[in-house]
Amino acid sequence: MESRKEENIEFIIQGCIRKNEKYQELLYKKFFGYAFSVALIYNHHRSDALEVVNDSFVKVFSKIGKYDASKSFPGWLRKIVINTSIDKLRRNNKDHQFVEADKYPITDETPTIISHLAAQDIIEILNQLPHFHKTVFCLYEIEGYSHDEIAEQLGIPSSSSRVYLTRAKQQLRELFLVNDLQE
Amino acid sequence: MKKKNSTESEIFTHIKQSLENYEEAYIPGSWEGFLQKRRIRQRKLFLRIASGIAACLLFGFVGVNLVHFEKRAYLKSTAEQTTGNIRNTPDSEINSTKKSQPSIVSLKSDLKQFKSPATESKVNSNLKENSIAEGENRAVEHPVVSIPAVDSINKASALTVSTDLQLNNNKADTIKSSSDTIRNKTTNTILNTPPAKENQNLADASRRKVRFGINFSSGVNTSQSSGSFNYMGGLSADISLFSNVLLSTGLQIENQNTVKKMQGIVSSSTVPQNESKTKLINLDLPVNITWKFVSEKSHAYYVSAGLSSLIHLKQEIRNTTYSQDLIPASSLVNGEVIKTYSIVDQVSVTQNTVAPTQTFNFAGRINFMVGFEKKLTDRLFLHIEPYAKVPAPGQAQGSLNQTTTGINFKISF
Repeated sequence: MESRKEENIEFIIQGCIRKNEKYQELLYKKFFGYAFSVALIYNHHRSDALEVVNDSFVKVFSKIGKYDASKSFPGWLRKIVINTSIDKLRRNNKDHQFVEADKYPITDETPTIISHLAAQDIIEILNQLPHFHKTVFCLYEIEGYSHDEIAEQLGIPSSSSRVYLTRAKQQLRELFLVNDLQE
Repeated sequence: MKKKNSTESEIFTHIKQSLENYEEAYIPGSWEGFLQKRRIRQRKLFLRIASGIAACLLFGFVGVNLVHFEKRAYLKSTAEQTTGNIRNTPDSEINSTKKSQPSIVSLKSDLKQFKSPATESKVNSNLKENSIAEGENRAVEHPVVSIPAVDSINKASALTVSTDLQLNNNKADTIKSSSDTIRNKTTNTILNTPPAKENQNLADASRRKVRFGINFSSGVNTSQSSGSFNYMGGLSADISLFSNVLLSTGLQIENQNTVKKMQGIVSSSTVPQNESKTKLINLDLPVNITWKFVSEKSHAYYVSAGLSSLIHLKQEIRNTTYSQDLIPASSLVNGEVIKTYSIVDQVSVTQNTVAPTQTFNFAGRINFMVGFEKKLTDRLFLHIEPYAKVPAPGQAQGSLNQTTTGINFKISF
């Protein structure tokens, strides 16, 4: 009975709202893998991703009282992890120069075979992209953000966001092609 | 083109699906790491809030003291001015007290007009208030009159005036005589307080609020695996918060040398142990609260505790590894090649220097100190302070995780 209660997410969240460390531990362990996998997409290194996960859980535990129970908890957590990653990216790239025009040549070469790489391989391929390119690509393609939203989140011009996305796609095509040839 | 687009979208759909379904496993020890990090964060937050409050209190205290000091200086200058005035007070000024009598006389006539007992008492009380007010007004004219002894004389004279409604001409004489008394007493009081002495007291009081010092200390660093010499020197400031409580702060440059002996791969009595020498140059910013539990004129004993923040200016790590190698040597004896091996000691040294200001260790050490203060001259004090600096839990790591103990010598002025 007790173990079933502990598996119930709402019950755990209620415990976290009461600042009960036992329930905080349960929530952390239950969603660590999920948060870590999201953080890995937006961070180049595992140590950075782990730091983002911990920072995100600090935010989760301090703001869990504001969590809307009608919405999905993983979705809320995902948003926090992404925002924390973006904050970190912005902090570490204060002097980053943003491009304004797209002069990157786009080749016609496309991989003929669709890769069926594992997620970890995909993350490795994504990590070969520049950090901003990867973040824009993930926000646009995976999270479904618009260019204006991405520009606002990253504090860059929306034209830069478009350029980064094009470049990211171009580089990914090349990387997938290399991967296919290797296979 | 169409094929290209569909392939591209398939790639991105594949990426999206793969990443959406992907979930990492829990890493054992992550929760414990998270708890530790959270504790450090909470402690830093607490320290920031506490130091903010302490800074506000300190500024408030210094501000109040400055205002108080200005007030005292103003009173002193007014007192000096009044002494001069009283010394030169002409009789005409005293006679002016006589001129102020019409109000009392008019009240007396009012009293005669309204003979009823109620009116009489009312007028009486008015007269009393009037007389006191007059006395106080005069006190404003002569700020020295605010001296309590003089005040009481003044009020007594006013009461004498009010109770004796029959007096008319005598009243002026009474006031004159009391004014004389005031003048004499005030003059005596002020003349008995030498201005030079008062100046000295005020200067002393202001000087003792903040006392600066120069200090030098030598000590020993100890950690679980090493021990080494340490010395530091710098400037200090002791800010008086209460009579026996001080806020001690300053800026010190600290030179730490640590030597760590390590066992090599091959344990041998002929091969020296590998060692790692770390040379640290830090700026130490202590903030301590000092309590003088014995405070005499010539000496004082005190205890002090607080926190030190460190800025690491230079961190030089020098690793020395010792090993023995067999070197073959061939020699030709009677036409035969004979191979001999000799043992050669090998020493390799690697040096790594970390860039300055790379690390700032906020509130990284807890300070404990017991001190003795000896007055050398009127302005100079010698302090001898045995101390211990303990790394705060969760703050220092590796070579920084060491306790420093020693004796600090300080000259304050």
